[in-house]
This record gives sequence, C-alpha cells and structure tokens, in this order.
Amino acid sequence: MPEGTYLVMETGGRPFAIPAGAVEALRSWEDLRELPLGSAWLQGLLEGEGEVVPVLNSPWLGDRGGGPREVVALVHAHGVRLAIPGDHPRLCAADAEGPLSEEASGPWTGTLRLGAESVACLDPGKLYLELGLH
Amino acid sequence: MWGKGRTMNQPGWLFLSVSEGVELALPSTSVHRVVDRASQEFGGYRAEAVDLAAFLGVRSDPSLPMVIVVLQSGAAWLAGDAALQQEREALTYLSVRPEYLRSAPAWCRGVLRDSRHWAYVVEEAAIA
Repeated sequence: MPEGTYLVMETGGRPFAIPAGAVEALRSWEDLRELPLGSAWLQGLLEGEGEVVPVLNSPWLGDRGGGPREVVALVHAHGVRLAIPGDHPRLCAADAEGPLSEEASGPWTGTLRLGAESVACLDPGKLYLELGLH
Repeated sequence: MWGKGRTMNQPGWLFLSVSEGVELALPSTSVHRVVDRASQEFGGYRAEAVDLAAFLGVRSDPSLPMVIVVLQSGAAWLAGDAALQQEREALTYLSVRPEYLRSAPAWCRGVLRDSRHWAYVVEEAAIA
C-alpha cells in the first residue's frame, strides 16, 4: 500500500481510518464466532492465518450502539493480529494529516483530511497497548 | 446415539452443544458417561449438574435434547447434546490467550476446528 493510504470504515455512522499498511484483509462479519465470557473489549473471535484472532467490539471504538457490522478488518502490528469491525470500507488517500483534538486519547493518533471529511485515525500499535495484548 | 446412559470407552473428543452458536470439546478420557434425558438417572444428576449454558451466560437451545455429562472427577454438566468425534477428519487446535477471557481461571484454552466444528476446549477445573 502506498504511504498516506488508509482504510476508512464507519462505526455508528462515524468514520475512522486505519493505515492501509497495517491491514491484512477484510473478512465478513459472518465469520465471527461468539466467545462466551469474553473480555469487555471483545466482540468475538475468528480464524486468521492459522491462529485465533480477537475481534474488537464497536462500543470500544466509541459506538455505543454496537451490533453487527458489514466487515472486520484484520490488522497486524507488533506481531499481534486483531480484527476491527466497521461498515462501508473504502481505501482513501489522505490530503493532509493533523493533530488530534484535545479530548481524543487512547489509540487515536490524529485526524486526516479526506476531501471534505475530517477523520480520526487509529494506530493499531497503540490499540494493542491499550488492550494489554503486547 | 448414547442409549439411555453409556460409558465412554473410545479415545477422542466429545463435542457438547450448549447453544446455537457455542460448542465445547472435552477429551473423552475425562468423561465417565453421558446420561440421556430419557434415562431414569437423569433426574438424580440434574440437581447437582452445572448448567453449561447458565455458566457461560448463553441462551440454551430448546431444540436440543439435553444430556448430563458425568466426568471421571465425579462432576456433572448439563449440556444440550453430546456427540463423539466420529469421522477421521483432522482437527486443528488453535490456542486462545487468557487475555481474551474475563473469567479467571480461564474456562477455555483453545479451539478445535474442522469443516464442521468450532469448539472451545474446556478447562475442566474452571467450570464448577
């Protein structure tokens, strides 16, 4: 993937971006398996490349509605795989990158200008640290 | 397939159906016998048996016949159904990290999968 390219998805109608270089594949929501007594951040599991991959839940991304999504994006960083749910996936080239607003924290690293849109960007590496998966 | 209460004597995995989307796997060597609902013994075990659906917080499937799995340890579990792995298809084991679970000790340690199954391998001691 060229630098400056992002996978943009939506959760609860709000767009967010993941660096395309960290994205391995898009998988159907239907592939997801329920894990009873799973961690609070976990929506379920799926298999990827011969290992169990945890799927992050939508509320953890700030979408209180939760519920099924169209796809999950398999991302890979620091030797760990994680799947992130979203709707309406599309690849976009950012016009410009800027700092996050002050209230943003955790795995969100900055905002991107995508045409008329301003989109929060997720850093998979920070996400793993937040979840204690490193 | 079990009659009214059969003793386990075949090595392999016993698959337990708990809800529509949740299946568990248990080494058959850990299992003493499986008691069908039609058995007169079912009622005797029922009061002491751990209801797996309730333990896992999932909705039990009313279309399943219900069985009691009696373990070698003496524990008894209520499940929707139980079936031995019969065919020779290779099962793949995938480990599940304890960080993915909120229960401690972790009730499952991995997944057994083939084209028909995605079954969680249970940690027997964690289910009580």
